Amino acid sequence: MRTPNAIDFWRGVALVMIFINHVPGMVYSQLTLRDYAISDAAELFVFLAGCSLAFVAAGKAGPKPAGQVVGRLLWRAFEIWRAQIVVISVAVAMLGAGALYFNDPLLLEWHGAKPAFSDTARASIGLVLLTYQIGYFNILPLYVVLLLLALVFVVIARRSLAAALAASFALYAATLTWQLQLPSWPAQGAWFFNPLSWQLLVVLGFAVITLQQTHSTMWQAAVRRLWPVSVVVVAIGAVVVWIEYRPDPMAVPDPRFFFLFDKQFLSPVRILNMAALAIAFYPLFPILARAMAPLVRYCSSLGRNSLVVFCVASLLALAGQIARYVGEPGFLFDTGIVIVGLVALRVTAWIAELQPSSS
Amino acid sequence: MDRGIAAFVLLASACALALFAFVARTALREPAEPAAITHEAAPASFALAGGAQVLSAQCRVESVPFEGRAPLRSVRRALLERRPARIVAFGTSSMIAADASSPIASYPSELERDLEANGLQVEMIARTQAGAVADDAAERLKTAMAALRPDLLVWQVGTDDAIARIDADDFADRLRDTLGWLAAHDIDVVLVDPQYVARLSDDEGYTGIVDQVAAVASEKRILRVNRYEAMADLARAHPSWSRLAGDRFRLSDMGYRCAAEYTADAIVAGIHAAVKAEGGETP
Repeated sequence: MRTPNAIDFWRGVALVMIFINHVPGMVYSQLTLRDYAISDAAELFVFLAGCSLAFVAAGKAGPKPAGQVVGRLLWRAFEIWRAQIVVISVAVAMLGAGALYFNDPLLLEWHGAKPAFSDTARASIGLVLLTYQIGYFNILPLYVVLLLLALVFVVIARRSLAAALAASFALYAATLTWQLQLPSWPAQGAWFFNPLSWQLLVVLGFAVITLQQTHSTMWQAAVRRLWPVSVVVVAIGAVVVWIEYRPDPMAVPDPRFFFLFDKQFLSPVRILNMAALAIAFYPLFPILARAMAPLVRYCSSLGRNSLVVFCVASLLALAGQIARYVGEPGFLFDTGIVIVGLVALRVTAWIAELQPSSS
Repeated sequence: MDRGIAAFVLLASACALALFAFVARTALREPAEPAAITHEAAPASFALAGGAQVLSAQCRVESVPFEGRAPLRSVRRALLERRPARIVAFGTSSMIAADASSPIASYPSELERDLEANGLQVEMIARTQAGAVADDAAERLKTAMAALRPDLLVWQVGTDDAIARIDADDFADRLRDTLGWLAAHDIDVVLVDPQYVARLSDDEGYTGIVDQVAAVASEKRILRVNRYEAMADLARAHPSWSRLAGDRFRLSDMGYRCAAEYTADAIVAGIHAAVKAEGGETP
């Protein structure tokens, strides 16, 4: 078991925020990142995935063998694909059980679940191909494609990190310019998170940690210089969110996704805001580790076991949504959901760490 | 390690047993198979001077099918330009147009069929609303509208907000704001209010959202398909339809079937209103 580190800690924080944000309407969402920043916990989670990727690609002794890295990424993509199949199946079963028990047709339509019940043959195929996703269960399919894309960028980065960054930027720019998307099926439309643009955040995370490993002194100096600017950018982002400013999609010039705050395509302002947050909060972890050790241990335990904790968090959030829907939600009710959720996530991490291959 | 595996297996077994017991208990009280849904074809002519179109027998209810007399100027303009009117159907997953070969008649495909039976050439695009309007869905709707540039938005609104227990006034504010934005960009709108669900008929949170859809539509002079009241009429006339049978809620299915007819009616009426308001050539 790893000792608490910044990546695990912040990933745990992101998981807690994702759990709370996935129960819409709760007052506790006011404590999460999206109420104070243009980007939200999803960006943080994906950026940190990119940071972790650097440790998969290289150890203290330098780059790991290419075959080992490719094999590890392919296996991880398979694990996440497997997790998505299990989690979405359980989610559909929960909605079906809720509809039966409460005699309520709306539960069969929640978050795009209808095809699972009324077009089952196609939905089953789409589920395996990841083209059928339901609301709040669409991050893992993004992850699978991100890992497969990361394979290419990590291999390029073994020759030149700049070339990997350039390739990633080029794909990002092309995606936003021509609005390239992965299609949904059997439903019309596209993926809620577009992997072709979100890959840039992974590659940026990868590049940041790779540079920290290879150019430590310069890296520390750059972070120190950028810190005041980042704090200003974070503050501006908070004001923009507070005054509820959003660019009018009809008013911005083409290609419009460069100028919007769009989450599906991950518009540049969201990346900028995420980068500023990462730098602004970078010095915080050592302080928290000393001052609030139990909190750091808690979040780090979630972050160390991010996949299984994310899966359980998603299902607990759906259970929370159903509970709020059939119950009489209020402050105490929401507090109960949050407490049960946070305890269950810690228990999940504890069980996961009892396994020999926990990661 | 072994202790951990054992604890996990025990926990999983308990969950599986509980789920099995629950499903078995629920399955025992499932009612009998309902009659198949039938549908009489909508009229093949588009009678511009006429009033309400002929509804299928099962969709005729006491409540009015839709409210409002708002002119659909952009749809009329499309028809005058001899091009199909581009319509975006936006809402929950039942609004999703299934693959063309799918056996499931989705709301958009039925609406398209009903409109074409009325002599209107339309291009129907379906999109799912992800999340509550009072949350981020309104922004995503605007982005989708900027990309698709429709003449008409058919928006099933309020369900996700009701599910998330969003405050009805917050929902109304955001709806008002979004409708203002759509009007400013010459996109016609027909609102479809949430479904009637027997369990929620006395739920103030749910009915509060339904009431706000009606109030905002009236205030903004927007056509509103009166699905909630129509389904309530159907539920009173056919109490068994509210129960799950054969994996289907018949009331819900009929709600969509009839909402497609009512929406087609509302659109035709909106074109009539545009002709009346603007005068000149009829499409």
